[in-house]
Amino acid sequence: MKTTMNRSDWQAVRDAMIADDRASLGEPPSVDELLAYERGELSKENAERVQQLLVAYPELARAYATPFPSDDAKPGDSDYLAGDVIDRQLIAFRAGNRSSAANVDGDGSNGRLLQFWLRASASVAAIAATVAIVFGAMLWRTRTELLRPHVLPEAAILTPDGRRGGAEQPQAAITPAGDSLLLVVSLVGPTDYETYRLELVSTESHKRLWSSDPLRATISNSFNVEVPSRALPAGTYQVIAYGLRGNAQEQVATYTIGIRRPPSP
Amino acid sequence: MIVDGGSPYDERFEAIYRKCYARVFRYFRTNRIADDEAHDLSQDTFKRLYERMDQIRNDDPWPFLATIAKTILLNRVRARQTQKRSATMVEIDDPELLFAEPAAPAELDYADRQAEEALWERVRRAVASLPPGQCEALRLWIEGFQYNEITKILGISMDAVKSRLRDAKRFLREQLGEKPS
Repeated sequence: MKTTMNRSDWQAVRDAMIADDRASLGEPPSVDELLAYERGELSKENAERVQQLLVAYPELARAYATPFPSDDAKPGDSDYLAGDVIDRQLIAFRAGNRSSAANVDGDGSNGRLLQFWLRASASVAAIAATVAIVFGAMLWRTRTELLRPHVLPEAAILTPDGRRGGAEQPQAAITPAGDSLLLVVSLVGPTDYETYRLELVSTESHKRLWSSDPLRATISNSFNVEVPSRALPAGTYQVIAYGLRGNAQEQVATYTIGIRRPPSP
Repeated sequence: MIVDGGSPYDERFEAIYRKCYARVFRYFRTNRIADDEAHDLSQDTFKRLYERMDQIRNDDPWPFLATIAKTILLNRVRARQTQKRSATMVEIDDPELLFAEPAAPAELDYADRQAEEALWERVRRAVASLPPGQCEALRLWIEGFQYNEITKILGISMDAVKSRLRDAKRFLREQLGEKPS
């Protein structure tokens, strides 16, 4: 019969006792309780409970019992911090608190900080001005483009899966010819939903690439979706149409499409 | 928060920061916290100090700062303990576990396992039958706490710790016929 205890035996006994204690005593003491215990402000009964909990939560007991270091670490110690590290932490602290103007009247180290923040503020302002000009120009160009008529690409009329003789068979592969692709999603079957929602999903990654807002049904029972060609690399995709009624939605049809890239010239 | 335009406490705060940051950082590192997180916790400590600068009444801010640091540390440890207790439960027949589970260690034969479990049970009973004060001191000693840490945790004197441990070990030796090592 085994009679000697080795380290793993003690570990097993210790784990079992801790598990029992935690099951019977519950959650670890709150930090307020611990601080009150440290100050000797708890009743005898509560102090005993906190002691039991500290035994049951030794990691917490360790944090509670670890004294503060009486002095700073020396160069060469693993936890030694050089002055420049503390400077950087202080700068990060101030940056985190958005206090760019807090030290305007200071001198010495405050002055250094002031210079830093003044330079930083000037740089940020210059970058912001450049970004504003660039975005303004882009916006103007986009607006101008939008006001000009343009021809839509040739439409690819999608038929619901299962209506082409094979549920999972992609319809003829589409090769985008221009910057965008026009998909005509035809609804077949019940069309009495209040609104519809369309989703575009990659069947390979099962990732949802796009989801429409609720769409009112049209007289032609179809929706025209213009998709930028660059958004559809070669692969297989599925357009899923949902019918919406109140908060409920129901899948109405799926349309599997294969996208092919034109051969390189 | 630091208020734009400065605060009457800014200069004093910076002086405290420069003087005490390294020691606060060292406190967190002493508690086995990695560098990056120790910096984060130190920054949290000074942020709270900054928000309470008006409450520092005397010349020495260290006791106030130390209490903040300790509160932050205890909150961190406590939160981790609570997370462990409320860890996500998974179905025992979750197929993904079949792949995640490490290979089982070589098993003892049935008789050895029975003997081992019987010994554990005897020790558990023996420890549990100690008077509460001795039991707590012994369990903290088994955890590896130093005498001075046990005095702090149990709120008793060093002599009381030594006496409780001596009595507990003697009791266990009598019960188990060996010295806990």
